[in-house]
Amino acid sequence: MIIRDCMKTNVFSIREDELVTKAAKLFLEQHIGTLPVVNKENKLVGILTLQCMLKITMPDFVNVVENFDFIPNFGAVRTKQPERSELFRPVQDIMKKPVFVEEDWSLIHAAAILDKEESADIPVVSEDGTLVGLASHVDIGTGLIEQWDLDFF
Amino acid sequence: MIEQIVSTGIFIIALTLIFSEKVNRTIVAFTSATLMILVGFYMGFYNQELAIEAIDFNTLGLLLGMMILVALMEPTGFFQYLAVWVGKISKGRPIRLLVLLGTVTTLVSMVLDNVTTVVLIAPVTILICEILGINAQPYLLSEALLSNTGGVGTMVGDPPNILIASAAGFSFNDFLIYSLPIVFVTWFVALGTLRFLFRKDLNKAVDIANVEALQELRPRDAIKDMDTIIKVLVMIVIAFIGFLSEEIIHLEPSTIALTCSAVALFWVRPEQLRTTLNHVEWDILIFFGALFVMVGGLEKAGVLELLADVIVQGMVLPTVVLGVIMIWVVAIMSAIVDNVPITIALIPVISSLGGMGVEIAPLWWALAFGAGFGGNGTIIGSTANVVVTSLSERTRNPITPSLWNKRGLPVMLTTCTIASGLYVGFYYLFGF
Repeated sequence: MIIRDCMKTNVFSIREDELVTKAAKLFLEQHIGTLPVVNKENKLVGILTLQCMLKITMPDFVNVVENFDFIPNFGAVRTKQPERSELFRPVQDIMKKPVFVEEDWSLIHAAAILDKEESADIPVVSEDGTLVGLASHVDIGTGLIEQWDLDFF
Repeated sequence: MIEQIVSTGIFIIALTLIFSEKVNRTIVAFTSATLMILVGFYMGFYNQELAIEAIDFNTLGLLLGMMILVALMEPTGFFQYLAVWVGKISKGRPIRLLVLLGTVTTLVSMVLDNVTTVVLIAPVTILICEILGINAQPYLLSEALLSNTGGVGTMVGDPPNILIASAAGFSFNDFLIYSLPIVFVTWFVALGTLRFLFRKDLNKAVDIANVEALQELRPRDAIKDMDTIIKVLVMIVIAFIGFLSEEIIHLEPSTIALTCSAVALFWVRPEQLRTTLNHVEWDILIFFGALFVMVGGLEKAGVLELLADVIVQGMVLPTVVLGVIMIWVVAIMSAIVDNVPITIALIPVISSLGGMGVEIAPLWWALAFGAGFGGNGTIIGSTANVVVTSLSERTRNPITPSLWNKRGLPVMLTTCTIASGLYVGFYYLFGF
């Protein structure tokens, strides 16, 4: 089994020059966690995840304080709204660098990349870099377990 | 003559490279020190034995001892506890918060290394400000400026003080008598200046719901290892009793600090000794050692004697005027370059002036005040400044060089002016 056999092909993506507001609406309407970011030629140029979006309102202290055991109430940051300037800018400003697999790669190869990157989904591209699908860790994981010989023992 | 030109050349190139910040300062100092030994050996004015003699092990030992005590304390959550605790006491009132955080940072940094203090208190400051919904910049800047200022007051508060104490033979108590009173007044002036400069931020009202959130913080939960805190605190207290009674027990401060750190290590017995020792700032110790070797080379080549000659011949000024000039010249230099190389370079010059019959005790204190207060002037003036700036760069309100010039520079100018006035007054009223 290769990636092509387990990936989803009906994938929502977003162009790199589109605004963060549009991405936010897509996440909300489609209830998804990952949006591949593409250029005009539909080539993969980045990945936008829910984490990238949430960083917009994430408190700064999350980056500098080691643990939050002593903070039962986040105070002013609980209801923090994003600044207008943070929403009205292209998604390429906040996207992550693209991590991808090619459609004919093995499942274990994809699983290894997901494990390293600590991400939940991975875009699938053709040989020339065009986005062709998206594989989630559930797609890849169950695809791999399916190949195990569970009846042997 | 050629020896003097070559050794001065090495030293100036090293200082320029340190100033340019293109290469790490420890690497620059280490390379230049070895170059000084090599060149000195072949030119016949310096060698390895003389280089080792030039290293002031009293300074290195005191620094190492205090660094080990801090390294043991670092992971315990003690510093975070203090910051959260004063945050709660402030009841979310901006001015009170500024004064309390500034006071805690200063008091801790008078006892321990102020870089570590700032590294551990500044993140909690960012947290408190975000919970309150206020800008953290005034608080971060004040912590650096006030801890720099307060550090001048004790022998172990600031690395230049350790160097000066060792070279001049000043005791811990000398600092309490001659430096602390001046620093005490200057610190309050610095606080007042900050209060004025940040009046817009500090006069904003804080939402009552956010103040309640701050009151819910649980300082006790920030503590991870109470047992170690108590043990290290006991050893720090013993070390300070040792420093205070130096004249009775006749032990060098380095012996006291190293003994207390050894006992603390034995008592705490950290599971991962290597992790603890990684917290010791070895790069700083190497930097100091290398600077001693370099300045030793200058001394052996006869550069410092020449310099002292020039100063003495050209000196028609009374000591107190020379002292005030020194405060300002050293302060301006410390604002631009690290104050440690400046102090290490000036120490032998002052010592040779002493050999020529000049009254040098006031000059030592002028060096301490200039080196300490000068660091407030620019964003790169002291390590604490660099630390709060780089931490703030991980937030939405980074501290910029221009902000520092608007807030830090006035503090430096005010503190140097006040310190100069008090210095002159102290000289005539009590004498140094």
